Amino acid sequence: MKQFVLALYCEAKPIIQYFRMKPCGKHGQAQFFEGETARLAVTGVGSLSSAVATTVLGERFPSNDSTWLNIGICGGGDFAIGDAFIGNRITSDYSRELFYPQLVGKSPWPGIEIKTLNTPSNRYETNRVFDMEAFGFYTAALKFASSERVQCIKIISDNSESPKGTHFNKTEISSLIASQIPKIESFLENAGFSKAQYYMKSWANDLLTKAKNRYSFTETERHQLSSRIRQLDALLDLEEGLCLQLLLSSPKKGQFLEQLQSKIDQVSRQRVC
Amino acid sequence: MFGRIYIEEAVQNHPRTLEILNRYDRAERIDCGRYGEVFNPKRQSFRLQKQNPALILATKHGNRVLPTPTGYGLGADQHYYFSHMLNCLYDCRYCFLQGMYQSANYVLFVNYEDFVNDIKATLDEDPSKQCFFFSGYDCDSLAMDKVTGFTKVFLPFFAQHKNAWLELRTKSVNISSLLEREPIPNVVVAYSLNPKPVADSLEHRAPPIKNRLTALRKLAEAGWEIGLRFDPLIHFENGIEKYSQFIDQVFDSVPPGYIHSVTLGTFRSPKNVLKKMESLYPKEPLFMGNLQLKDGAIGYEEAIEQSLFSSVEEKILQYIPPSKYFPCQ
Repeated sequence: MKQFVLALYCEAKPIIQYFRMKPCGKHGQAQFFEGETARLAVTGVGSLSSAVATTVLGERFPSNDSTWLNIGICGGGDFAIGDAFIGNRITSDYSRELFYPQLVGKSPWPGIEIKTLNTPSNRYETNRVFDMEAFGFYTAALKFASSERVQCIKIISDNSESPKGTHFNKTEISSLIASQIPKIESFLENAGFSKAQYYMKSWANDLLTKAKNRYSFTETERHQLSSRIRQLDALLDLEEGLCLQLLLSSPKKGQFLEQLQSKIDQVSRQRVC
Repeated sequence: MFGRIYIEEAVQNHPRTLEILNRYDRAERIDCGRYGEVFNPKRQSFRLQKQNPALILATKHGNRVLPTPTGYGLGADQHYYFSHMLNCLYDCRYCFLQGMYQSANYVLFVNYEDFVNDIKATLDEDPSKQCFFFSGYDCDSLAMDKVTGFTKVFLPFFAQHKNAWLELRTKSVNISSLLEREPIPNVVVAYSLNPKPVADSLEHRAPPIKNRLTALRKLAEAGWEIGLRFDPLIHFENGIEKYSQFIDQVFDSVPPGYIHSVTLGTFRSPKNVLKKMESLYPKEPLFMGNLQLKDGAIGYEEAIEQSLFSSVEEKILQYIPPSKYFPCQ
């Protein structure tokens, strides 16, 4: 699942439309949207607002394999309006902590340091861009995903030649974000994130449920049970897996667990190579 | 090869840094204060990063040369190891590096001269003693030699210090830097070897066994001291028979007369490291059956370990004298 976090509705609008998302709730000033493959938070301006809304989004929709993207406009000294970057270093003007987002695949955008400021500024530098959310977003999103799955993409909306302060043309901003959607889509598709996902097959889930209903396990035994069935799930094909249902005829839970382990010992040495 | 190179502040102008940056001039460069800022944070996925690791150029402060754990030696008076690099180009499922660090990025410590000075200081403590120095503990010694220039610096040092032995532990067939120079009698090129089915299934991205044996033969014929490292032995169906055939194959490729030493050890790992490896690869059969916890480490069940170990040991001793054999148990 893609989790987008943006500060302003005008930034979010093209993404909401592209992924056909619908409103799915509010929290304070934050608004949430949901589609089939993506969710989005419009957080309001500022690092704290971004952190709060990111946390709410993560807690409301727990998921182990989400990719988190903070997308938004930023200021950059010599860069042209519309230039886009991916954060390779996230810093702020209020914390000594810093983050280095890790990349799995290739990025369609050049990397740059994103420095998050507490207040808007027309002070620009050449080797970094300035925003008001990335640091808060990153701090919060890392609670729900590893560094490879948390990225910040920033698009230049103002620079030393065209400083804009706090007043923006909403249509222009929507258009800046919309122009990056094809790259965002391709980045998410080619980032290699899906390779680490793991789901248990239905025969294994079925065996787990039946075993839990049949025997009264202690907490430690439950852990052993899950672990052994997960291993067998990886080792056995459907036919072999279905045969394990026969083990449920064991009168004692200890015997059942031992039989699962024997099967693992037997099959694992055949499947190592 | 590298999409991103992180550069620690202290080594930004180091000649080795500049050489590497010059070689990878298209890589994105990112400054960092200390390498740990990038390498150590907890919320990183080793498995995802292993798909496309970045390079971190850093300096190693202290603890550069360390004594080996008890039981790991090759008959010298003292044994040490040092790591000019953290993490490996290869992706061997049984390797402790899979569960050792938060990050799969490569850290290269460019201050080789400090390592050399520390090795020299260790030797100077008692010049009458023979000392063995193992490289390739936290990385493969040769796999990235073209990038790191490791042998260019360390081999000349060992060539001049006869009471110091160096082991280059590797699976790499990147041996041109060795073949281009005269062999050094106190440098051992030690190859990690396993039968083809194990290598194919578990030693991802490493050169095929056939190519490793060819490299070994070339090095032996050129006069280099050769080490054979059957470590870790892996338990698998008909494994004892396969290991027996494999050892015949190895000594057929590299006649026993060329061998400096052979070591042997079965698969084992500290419990916490194995747990992490298991969580990285939950479908890997290697971590599933026939294992037991013993003295804080996880290894094969006693009977399996003994049977595998003793049968391979017996086979090896058909080819080499006991003086060249060093079990790690």
